[in-house]
Amino acid sequence: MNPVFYIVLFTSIFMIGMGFAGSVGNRNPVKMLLSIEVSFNGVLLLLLYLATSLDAALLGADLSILAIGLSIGEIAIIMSVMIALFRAGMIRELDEKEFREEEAE
Amino acid sequence: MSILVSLSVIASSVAAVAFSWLTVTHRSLIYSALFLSLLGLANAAIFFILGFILVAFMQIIIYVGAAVLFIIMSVSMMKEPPKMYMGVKYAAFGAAAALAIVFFLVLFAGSRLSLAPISVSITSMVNYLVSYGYAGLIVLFIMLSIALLASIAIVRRDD
Repeated sequence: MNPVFYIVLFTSIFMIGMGFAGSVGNRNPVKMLLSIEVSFNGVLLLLLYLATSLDAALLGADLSILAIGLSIGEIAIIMSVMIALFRAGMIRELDEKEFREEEAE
Repeated sequence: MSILVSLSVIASSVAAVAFSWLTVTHRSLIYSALFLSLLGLANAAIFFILGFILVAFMQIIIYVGAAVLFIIMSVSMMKEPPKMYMGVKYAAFGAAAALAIVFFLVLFAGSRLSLAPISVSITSMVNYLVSYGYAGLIVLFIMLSIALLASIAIVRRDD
């Protein structure tokens, strides 16, 4: 296999790891959502890399299209929950707490 | 695989790694969402070079165009937008321009350079999706409809 493909593999694994680290290490829910989206991008890249490697290009492409469509629903639900939490005043409290901790450090 | 394609893959991968790092580590939520959209563009460039043309366009139109802009608008409503630092702005525009150049190189020179290791035509993808993934399409349609109704109901809830 072309060595360029190993770069794609490294990129996808790095993105999955960064997303996992960000979702575990952040307390801000929006930041956690963004980290999960980074992980999703890495998984999508890994899926298409595997589809290329295993000669299952059509299956991988169709699965990735379904995954992109599902991620839209996930983002819509989570962001509407965020807006509802913000209107209840909980997001602002979380942000202030986080900034206060950073200032104390 | 030609040198141009290899360089495009390497440039897009470096951009994807940098944008994923910036998305997770940047303190501003709006800039994190902006870097997430640039990460989606870099990913779409890699998909395009790998030969998944329809997936790349879906990624740009649906994911970057709709989802990430939705995140940016929602986050903008939640907090005051932070100060715009000129360096970050120029870096973002430069990265977007570099990715656009990669796209145009691949799009216009790709047909003569044995572009993709595999070639997945849009017709065969749609045929495969309709014939074998019919149930998945119906489930996706139902779930997106439920997600739309649920998100409207959650946001409009008063108590």
